[in-house]
Amino acid sequence: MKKVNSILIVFLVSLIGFTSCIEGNDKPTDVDGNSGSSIVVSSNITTNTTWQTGKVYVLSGRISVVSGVTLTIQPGVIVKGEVGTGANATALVIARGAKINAAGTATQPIIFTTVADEIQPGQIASPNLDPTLEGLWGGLIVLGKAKGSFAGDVTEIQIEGIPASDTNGLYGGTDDADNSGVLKYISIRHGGANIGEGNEINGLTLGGVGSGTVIENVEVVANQDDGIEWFGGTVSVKNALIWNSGDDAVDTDQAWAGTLDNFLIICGANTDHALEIDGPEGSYNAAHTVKNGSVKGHPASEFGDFRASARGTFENIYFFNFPSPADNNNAGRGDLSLSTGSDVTFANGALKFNKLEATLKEGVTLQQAFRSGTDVHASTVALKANTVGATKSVFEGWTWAAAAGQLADFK
Amino acid sequence: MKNITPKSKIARSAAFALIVLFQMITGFAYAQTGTIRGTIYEESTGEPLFGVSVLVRETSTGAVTDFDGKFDIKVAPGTYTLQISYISYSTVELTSVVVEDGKVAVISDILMKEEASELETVTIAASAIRTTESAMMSVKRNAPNVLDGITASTFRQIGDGDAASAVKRVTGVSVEGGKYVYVRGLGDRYTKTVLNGMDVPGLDPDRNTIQMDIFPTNVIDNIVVAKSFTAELPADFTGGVVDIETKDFPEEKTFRVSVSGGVNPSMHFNSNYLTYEGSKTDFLGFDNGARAIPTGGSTNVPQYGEVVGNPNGAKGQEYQSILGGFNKTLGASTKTSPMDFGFGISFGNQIARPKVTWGYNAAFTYKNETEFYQNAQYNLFAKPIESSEFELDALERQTGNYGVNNVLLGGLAGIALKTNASKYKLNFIHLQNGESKAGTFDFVNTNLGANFEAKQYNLEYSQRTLSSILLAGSHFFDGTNWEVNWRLAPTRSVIEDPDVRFTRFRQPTNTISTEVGLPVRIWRFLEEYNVNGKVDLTRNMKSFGRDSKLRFGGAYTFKYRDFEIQSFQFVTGNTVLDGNPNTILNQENLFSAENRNGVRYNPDFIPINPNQYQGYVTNFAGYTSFESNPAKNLKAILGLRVEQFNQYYTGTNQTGTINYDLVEMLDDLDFFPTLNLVYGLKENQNLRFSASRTIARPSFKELSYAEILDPITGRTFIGGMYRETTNGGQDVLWDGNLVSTRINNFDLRWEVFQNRSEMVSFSAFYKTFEKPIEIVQFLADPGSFQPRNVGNGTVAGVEVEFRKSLKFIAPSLENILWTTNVTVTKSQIAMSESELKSRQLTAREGQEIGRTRDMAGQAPYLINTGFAYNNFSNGWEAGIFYNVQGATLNYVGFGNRTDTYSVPFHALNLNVNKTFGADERIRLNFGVQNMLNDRKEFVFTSFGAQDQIFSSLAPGVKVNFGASFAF
Repeated sequence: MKKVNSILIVFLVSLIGFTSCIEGNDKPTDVDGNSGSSIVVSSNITTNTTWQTGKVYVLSGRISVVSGVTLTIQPGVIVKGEVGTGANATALVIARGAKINAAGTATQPIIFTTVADEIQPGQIASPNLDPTLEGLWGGLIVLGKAKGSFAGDVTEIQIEGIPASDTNGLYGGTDDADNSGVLKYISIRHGGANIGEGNEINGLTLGGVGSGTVIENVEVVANQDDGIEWFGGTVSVKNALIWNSGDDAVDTDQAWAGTLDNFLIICGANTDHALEIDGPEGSYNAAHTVKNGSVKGHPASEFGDFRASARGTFENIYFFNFPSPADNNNAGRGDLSLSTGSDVTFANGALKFNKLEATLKEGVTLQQAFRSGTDVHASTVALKANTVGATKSVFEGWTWAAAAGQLADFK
Repeated sequence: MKNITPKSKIARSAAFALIVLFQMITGFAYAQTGTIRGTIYEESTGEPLFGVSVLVRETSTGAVTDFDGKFDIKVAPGTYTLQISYISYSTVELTSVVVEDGKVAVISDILMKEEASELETVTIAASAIRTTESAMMSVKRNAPNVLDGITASTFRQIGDGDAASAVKRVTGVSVEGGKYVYVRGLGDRYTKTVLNGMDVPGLDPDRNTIQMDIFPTNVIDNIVVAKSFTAELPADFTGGVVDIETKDFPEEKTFRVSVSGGVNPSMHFNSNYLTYEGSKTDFLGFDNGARAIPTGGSTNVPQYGEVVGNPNGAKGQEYQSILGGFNKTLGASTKTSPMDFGFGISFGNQIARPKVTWGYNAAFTYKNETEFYQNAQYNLFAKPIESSEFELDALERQTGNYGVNNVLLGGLAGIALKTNASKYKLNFIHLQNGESKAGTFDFVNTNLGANFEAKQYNLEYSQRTLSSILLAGSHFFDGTNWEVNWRLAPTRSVIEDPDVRFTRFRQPTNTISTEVGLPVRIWRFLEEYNVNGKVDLTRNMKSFGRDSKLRFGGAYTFKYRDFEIQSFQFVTGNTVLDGNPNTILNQENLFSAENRNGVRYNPDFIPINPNQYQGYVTNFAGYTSFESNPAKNLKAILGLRVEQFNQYYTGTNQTGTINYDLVEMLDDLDFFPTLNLVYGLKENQNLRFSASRTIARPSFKELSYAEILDPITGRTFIGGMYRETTNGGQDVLWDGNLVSTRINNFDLRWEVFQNRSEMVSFSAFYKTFEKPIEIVQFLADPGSFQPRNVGNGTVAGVEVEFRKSLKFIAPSLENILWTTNVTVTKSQIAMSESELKSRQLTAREGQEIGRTRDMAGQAPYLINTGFAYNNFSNGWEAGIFYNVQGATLNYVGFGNRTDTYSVPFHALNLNVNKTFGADERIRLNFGVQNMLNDRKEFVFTSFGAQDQIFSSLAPGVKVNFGASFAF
């Protein structure tokens, strides 16, 4: 009996031990707030803020400019994202209702890169990182109130890469003329941190951005996912250069209704499609225009894939340096294809092609490269003999690609 | 908190137990005479009778029963008649009691009937009394609340190997995924599982209840399912509380060894079986460290971005060392699959000494089971965009094979002692379970704006451990007028998923990118401590001139949980891959100074890990109840329970802007009234009514700011504290204020108990749910799931149960018992605002969307039926049983996703047992599971559309066999 009693005491002591520490604490008060003078940016931007020329700003997490607030980034500013993937991917989010005023210049572009990059204000090329290193931080996400065609026909939706618990990730609405600000002479590099499958951050993500927004002269280098991806919205983009994107270079979804004019794509080893064009996800239909582009391929890349009843007009685009679709066990690379309903939209005129040109690998026919009857809108030309394509001069002087001599192959 | 690990205490207590056991085995193993032991119950109440005189006619020796109704008489070998008498009761004469030298004759279930008028003698042959379901039935008949159950003798008959498969036999019980118990189709949120009447930690962070499959039946005495609430039960159950009672000490000396095997022709001895090299101790149910995380679990790990510029610096060296430390096996390999096998040992004895009766028992069990699913399918379908189109579109299709090896090791040891007014029990239980999975799938994606084909490789290991100590005592004062029961049970449970590996190659290029998903490695860890204590006092007294009982008592529960996930993604950079998953991490592919764009890891949990939390719960409970007979045939139990429940949480959100440190999330003081009425319509015929209030509380994870991403499914769990709005913040879909669900329960039951094993009952129940919690998808992001209070709900149902001997057809069929139970329910829940909106937006043409739908997880019907044959004289037992559960809403559809329903699985199982020898020295059994060779399937359903497969598995037909020997 004594033994039994001693065990009992042991239990009672452990019981007391377990319970004595339960003294609940108070809910912590929100210590959020930006001093504005700090170069490390560690919390959401909730008052109008200016980042100044000559300085480097480090994003220590996913930083949102919240609705009603304007972030001004002066020419020449370098923004660096801390390392981090998954939930810890760093990014600059311009929330719906917020504005970014980032007007760089041809001599003083604004550069978004990783903290691993030792680049300093005034430099164009990275002194220490190769232009193939990707996924070192997240990216730049701009969200707006313009319409999109969303699954389930909801009017607003959460952007990929931001959990639904963060309402700064919502985009979409009914204001097609919405203005999210100005992006000019921007170079975004080494981003695209992965969250999960089908949940990545693009170099420049444009979700429901309205036509009042001005986006011109943008370069995206070595992004682990897509270079620029549009999710609905009405914004137009002029003069875009995408180099070494990890997935697709240009990706459009959810019935984006703007224009991409004058673009240059340089595919890298990991680039999947130069153009990945998807149709609407809901019952709302709209279409976009992609024109005046020059695309340099890579052995594992495709010209483009048009799917999910894609809509729009694609004209004056030149492709070269792509593999034969028969290469690599008939991997089907190096072509332009229509799938899942896009053959129907092509037949009924909702999807239009006009003046496509290509310099094909020897032995590849126009029909093999431009499939599903799109070859009637295409022709072959000798290398650099293209009559359509991008005007490359606008990328000289301020892009890393130009500084690295990557534009030499383009006419 | 971790220094309170009761390891040293366990060791000390175990040593003490061993000494006692040793003394008992060596000291008391030899007896000069035989022994007669028995238990006597009051027939109408089912309670043990104290002070009954038991006389051996032939020798005129005898004994008087103790407070447990038990007696113990030593006699010389021979055949005797016992005369059992008690004042105002009919005398029972028990004939042909055979006593052998050194053995114990056990007569465990003697019932005595009150006979006010005349002294009448009932004569029964001892061999006619056996422990069967009749013991459970007498408990059932006399219980104040509605309950059902199953005992060890039935496990044997049906051949169920673990508690999960055994409990399915109970009326209104179903088991989901082979693990989780549903009572009356109410999900595990509304079902509570306790071990020996005490809370034990669950082994799954997403569940409130414990996984039942880890309890082998040879450590279980019985499982009781209480379906209506009484004040002494915990208040957080609604469908039922499932109590697993482990074996107490036996009436006689036993030593039994058993072996078992199982062959499934579709799964075993198959040379295509998939497995992977794990650790040397996998066969014992745990990993020996071979799957350990190469960082040692540190959260101070260098990241690629920090070392890419300087690969050979100190950090770079560390990075490369960690990178090289990840196990390089990412794909499954083939091997011939073994059959199932297992063995068990159990022994025990009771030693009666003049003042004290000692008892001990121990059981050990080992099971090793292998499954191989071929052409398993996991798909994702969605509604087409146009509302005029009906047939579902495929988004993802995954088809392939996977192998599972499951090892279960269990041990139980207990000692008990009884004095003339007290009883003590000390029990140790330890369960160890390891499950290794390896699969290879073909994957086709047409979702998320991504079209690709891929080859997918999954390797997983999951280990679960449960260690529990139970110390319990019962004391009687003033004869049996006062009874005090107390229990104290500390428990520790751990679940770990060390090194879950996921790899996908895009086909035919054999490339890896963000689009197909990067290779992922996950380490998941959950540890929980529970300490429970409770004291129950019973005062037997008279009121209304009849026996009555006043009960009161208190209980205390403390819970601590620690949860963490660490996951890593692997970027392959510019590495050229050949499609072999096991070469991805070859040294030459890894990041180094010469290969800066090589394969590297990215830790997802640095600097902030939102997949981590700690939680505490304290629950103080007190109750009082009064059981009386205000009229001759009416028993009334009126009770009130009060619980003060507090829950505390430590954790953070993804951006680190919300940091909670031991914050009180729940502070509920609730009163739970209960009324149970039992009206005896006739002898052996009851009409029962009960009404009560119960509660269902949110779990640690639900009531939190957790944001837990599953990198494999891409789904995110969002804690219930976040809000969701739409239309630019104008419409609030969820206010972020998650509260407990209060439930009102009403039960009506009519029951007739006929012979010892025959009965019929009809029940009806009705429950109302105030703010039930369901897992709801975000309107703005169908990949995110959140627990929310949805609209109020109701569940109504009827149950029919009968056990009938086929004697009514022909007397020769007397030994065949037809048992059937059927539950039919209708559930209804008011949809959340976001769900309603989503369903309206995606309605098909001609489809009408109501405001209510079925409750998720609520089966519309459950049927169990079968025939059992029993013949004690020749030792044959056989049973054939059929079980089916109606199509049940599994996942609630949202956006363009549709509802998924289970497809009824028709299980037909056969089991045959044969025992040899009077004391069942040798027992053989043979069985066939899933004789209809049905598939386990879930489907997507949508208005006007053909159902499409969500998941499909072929469990095959399995033949079991086993043998056990007593010494």
